[in-house]
Amino acid sequence: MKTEQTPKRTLNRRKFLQLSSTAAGLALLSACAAPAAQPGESAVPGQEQILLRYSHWGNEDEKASTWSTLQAFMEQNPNITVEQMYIPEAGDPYLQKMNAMAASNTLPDGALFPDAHTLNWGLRDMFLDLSEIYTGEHEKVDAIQYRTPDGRIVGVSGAQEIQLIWYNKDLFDEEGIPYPPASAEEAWSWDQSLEFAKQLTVDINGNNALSAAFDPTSLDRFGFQIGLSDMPVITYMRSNGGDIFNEDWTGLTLDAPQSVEAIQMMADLMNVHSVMPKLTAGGTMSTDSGLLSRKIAMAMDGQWVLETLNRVRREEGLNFGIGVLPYIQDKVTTATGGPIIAFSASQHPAEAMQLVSFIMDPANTPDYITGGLWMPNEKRWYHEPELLSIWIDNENHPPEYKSAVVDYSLDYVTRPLPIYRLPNWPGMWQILNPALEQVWLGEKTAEEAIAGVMPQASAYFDAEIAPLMI
Amino acid sequence: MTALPADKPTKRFFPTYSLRRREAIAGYFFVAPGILGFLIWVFGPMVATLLLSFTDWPIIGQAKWVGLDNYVRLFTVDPFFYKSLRATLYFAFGSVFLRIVYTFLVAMLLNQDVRGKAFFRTVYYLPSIVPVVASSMIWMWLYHPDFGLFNAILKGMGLPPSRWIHGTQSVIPSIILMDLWAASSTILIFLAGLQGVPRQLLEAVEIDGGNWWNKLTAVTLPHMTPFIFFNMVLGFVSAFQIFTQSFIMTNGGPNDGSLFFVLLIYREAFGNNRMGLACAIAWILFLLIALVTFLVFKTSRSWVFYYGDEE
Repeated sequence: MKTEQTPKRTLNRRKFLQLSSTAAGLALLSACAAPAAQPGESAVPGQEQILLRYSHWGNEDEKASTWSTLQAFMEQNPNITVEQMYIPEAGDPYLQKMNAMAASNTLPDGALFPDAHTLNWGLRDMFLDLSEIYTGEHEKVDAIQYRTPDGRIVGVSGAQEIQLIWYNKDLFDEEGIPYPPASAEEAWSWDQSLEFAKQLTVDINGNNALSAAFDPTSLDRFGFQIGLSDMPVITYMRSNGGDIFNEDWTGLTLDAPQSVEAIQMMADLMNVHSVMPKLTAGGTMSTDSGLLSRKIAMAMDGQWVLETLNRVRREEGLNFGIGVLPYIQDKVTTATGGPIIAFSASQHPAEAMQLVSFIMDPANTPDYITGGLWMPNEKRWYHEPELLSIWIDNENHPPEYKSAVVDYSLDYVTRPLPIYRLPNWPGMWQILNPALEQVWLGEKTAEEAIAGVMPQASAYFDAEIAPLMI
Repeated sequence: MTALPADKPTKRFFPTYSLRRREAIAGYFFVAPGILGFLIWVFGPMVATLLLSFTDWPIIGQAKWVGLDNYVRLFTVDPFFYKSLRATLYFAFGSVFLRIVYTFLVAMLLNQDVRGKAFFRTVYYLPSIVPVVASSMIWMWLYHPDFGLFNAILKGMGLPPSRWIHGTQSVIPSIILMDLWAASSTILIFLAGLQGVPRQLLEAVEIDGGNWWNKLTAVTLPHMTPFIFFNMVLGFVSAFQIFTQSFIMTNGGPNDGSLFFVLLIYREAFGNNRMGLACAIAWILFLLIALVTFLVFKTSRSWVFYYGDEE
């Protein structure tokens, strides 16, 4: 009986399996086909329609801001369509994606690129030479240009981001302590700021670090926090007259007495004076949560935190202020920022450079500039009153911003960071950081740790950096 | 077996083949996804990484054949390899043995007939449904040297505080502790095993006047050895591949104290653009896991007992 019914069925099991396997096979095949989505007919008759891809990282707000910049570009250039490639995660995961695209020949045309890897890629001719588009009124801030040894500009930071002091005003008011100065002329010396930091550091019984009853093992609030990444370390080495590399980037000065002393002074904030959380590089508290929770009174951090702090001010009522860095010998800050680059593998190099040049014009990224996330990358924005006014005359930039940030950046960014001149900096930091961590933990003095790591650091410099610098 | 009527042949693939043959072909089709998946996603990449491990490939440039250079470099001049090997072995052996002892004890407790048994079992199983990334964020706060809960407890008991994941000596024990907390799948396997221990044998011990210790050593433990063996093999395989905890919490520090192999592979491949070197480390890791697994299997003959399989 059963067997007679079987052939009459329109879709028996066997046929169903045959069909579905065919369908699955076709689906797989179609996935292998070349991406079909083309911009279609040109919006401008008689002109070829060009498709560019631009990739970047950032949060959802940055994604939206970038999209409006790209849209403005497309309005100006109707023959160009720009596809936004948004990769949420910065740092190594983003680089991983870039590497995978490089290996599979699917790199986009332009990109926001991980700063520390820029010169490594630039020296392997992965990027277009941008030197000629950043001239005249579009001349970029000196310290944020990624330059090859022969002087080519392979990228410029989308923003100049300098190191500053951020503090919770309420805590200073409660303790009757003056706010950290907002101009370099009045900057606190290291010892002055240490004194104030001690007054602001309080144990769970309410005794501050100047009191005899102070218990450094159970602290409720810290006067100071400096992130223990490469930038603050280099900043304070320079402030003490030292540095990691010599003037012409041909050798290490890491073991110079001034460099070593600066490291020791930073470690002493934790291990001798107890005014800073005892943490290694991975575990510092974010500036916004540190200030808001009143666990940190002053924190050293980059200008980019202004945007977050403004949000916390609006949502949680954080009363914060901006100050210049305390100094050891010289008043110094440092600047950084992820570069926007054009890939040499682009099929449309001229248009890719046009796109990069458009995004790099601060006038075309108003959300970033007025919102507080970016400082402009272009020199004239720091001098021309109308441009300066667009940038800082809004509720996101407090009154002290002009002297504490704009003027400070003009005179006290003395030298670019190593990432702007040397390839393979991350590998060097991977060698230095474990040694420094021993100093932060109080297991070794700065002198012992640096002496211990010098042979390895020199060997790395000779093998992985110097040969690429010719 | 119902034969199809001869006058109404069904349309089918390979109509001239015998039924046996057709079934064999169908069988291969059905296992094809698994086999192809293995070949394409596991075996292919393994061969590729083996070849790449003999090259210098910066990803953004051509691969250059360098023979055994990567391996020589790792065993002689590389500043991170031995640190990484030490951290990985320390964690693997520490966590696997502690995990087995701890989870076995917990499983025995959860196997007791007490009120609220389901509640306790749920409590011990919960950690395994928390993603490692999320639990790492929570543990970072628990381990915070200044504001963390653990140091508050130590202080409350009059003990000196620890730097936990921020200390060179304490970082691996801290990650092992966190790993134990999340070891609920191992508890579950032991619990299942304990329920299979023959009751009549336990009763026999009781009748002979044996106490709980005699029951444990003479009956329960021998019957649990296959489960201990299984958990040990799986434990080693996963412990050698630990990554997320140090990636999220310590980034390999302090002083490279938690720079596990997989983190080093990731860093060399995608942070330093040394894909060839990363592949070489991956192969060393593979051989290390294979060796340890082999040793566990080899010794298992002398200590693993299968019921009904005497002599």
